[in-house]
Amino acid sequence: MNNNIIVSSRVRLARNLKNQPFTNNTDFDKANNVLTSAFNALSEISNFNLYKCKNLKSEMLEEMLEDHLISGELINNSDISGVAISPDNTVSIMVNEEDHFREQCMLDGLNLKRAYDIISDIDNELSLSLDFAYDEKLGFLTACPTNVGTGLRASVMMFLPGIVLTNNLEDMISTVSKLGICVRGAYGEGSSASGYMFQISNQFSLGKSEEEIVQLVESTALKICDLEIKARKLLLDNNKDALKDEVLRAYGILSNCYKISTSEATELLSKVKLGADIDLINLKEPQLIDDLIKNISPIKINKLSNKVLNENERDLFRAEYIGRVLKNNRI
Amino acid sequence: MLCDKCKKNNATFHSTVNINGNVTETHLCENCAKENKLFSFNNFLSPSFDSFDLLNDFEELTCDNCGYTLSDFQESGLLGCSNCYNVFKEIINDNLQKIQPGNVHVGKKLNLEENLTEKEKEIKKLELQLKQAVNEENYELAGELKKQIIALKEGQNNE
Ligand SMILES: [Zn+2]
Ligand SMILES: [Zn+2]
Repeated sequence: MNNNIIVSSRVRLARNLKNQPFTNNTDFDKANNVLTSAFNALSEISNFNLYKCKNLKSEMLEEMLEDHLISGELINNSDISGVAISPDNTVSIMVNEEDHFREQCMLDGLNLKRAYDIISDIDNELSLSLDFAYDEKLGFLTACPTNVGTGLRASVMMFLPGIVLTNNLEDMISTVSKLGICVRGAYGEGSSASGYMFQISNQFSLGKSEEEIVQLVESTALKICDLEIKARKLLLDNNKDALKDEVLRAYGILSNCYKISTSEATELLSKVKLGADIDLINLKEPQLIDDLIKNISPIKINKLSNKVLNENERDLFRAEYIGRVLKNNRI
Repeated sequence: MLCDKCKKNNATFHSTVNINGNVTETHLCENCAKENKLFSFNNFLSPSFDSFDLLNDFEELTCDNCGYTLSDFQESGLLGCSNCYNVFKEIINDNLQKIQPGNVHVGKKLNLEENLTEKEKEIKKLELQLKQAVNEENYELAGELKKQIIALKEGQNNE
């Protein structure tokens, strides 16, 4: 059950070059020097694909953003930024983001420790050829003091419909914030409607070791997981019929509609996902629901259709696509 | 440093008043400085600005390496370069106290040999020798070193 609640784990390290101004205070030439030395160092690391953002089409950048390989900030800086991505898409090193380097590793499920080990090894390798800004007392120096020290952010993506539907979200957020953990809607601030997905991460970076921070985020994620399981049980005990009706209606709309927007589809798919997790609906391949959630954004629909569609055409295509995938998936 | 008056915002206006040897230091945020009679808005705009003794200490803290000013930092929340951490030390320390559980880094250290395994140290050493060999155009030695490095790296991947 844990695997369905904790979707993925991500660890990132923020690093800067000692002798260059931070990205927010740089000029074009200096930023390009950073990009050049970064790509030189990164090309030594086996088989990473290197991209300068200015050479990528905006659809490609948007897709990378949706896949969490790059950030919105990197796109904002696209005239000077770049990214190195491992062949399996688990590691990406952003260059000229808010910091010169944002090194990150993302793995499925609850896997923070391993993600940290992977990115830390790469960081060690990079630190041999790059001169990182580091202070004996303050640790790794970052553009924003909220990242100084370890430069570490460990985050876990969680699917929390039970906590939301039982109205426990606010309490949960204020409880974990006292531990130094912050909770964000996975698709930007205050977007609880879009799919019950949340990102749980550490708020601080200095005064605790990487291991302690990773441990804190992991143990908090597990506590939230317990809470989610309890909330789901509560829903089943008290509202089973209403909930099952809701789930089956969602499936009905998704299977039969003629056109559908991204947000409506995401909301309905999330209900079906919850239903499948707690056995209110039996699906041959529940994994298909997760795949759909990832593949119905405007960018992904354009890609699937091999065309540039307008909004109405996309909504039609999306409905047809979802209907096709769901067909015969119910037992 | 917090504002003397509201105790909420960062103090950006610092002044020293010397009345018959009694020195009083005042640190105010922009809002309170505007409200405070000593710094009434009219005084700010008056042409006699330069001769206004109270305002002499207003020279803004600026990073000598990157030119970033204190107000740049306060506006963006970001620093301009790694040297800014020295220049704005006091303000940053106040800041860190509010947002971080400690003020000393206890995590991984930079690039110290202790971060590396024995094998990584060996590879690093060989790579340095390789660079030197290439510089000296000693290609025979370079080829030999390259082989050793590849063998070590392969061994590492198989572990
Ligand atoms: Zn004030
Ligand atoms: Zn500076």
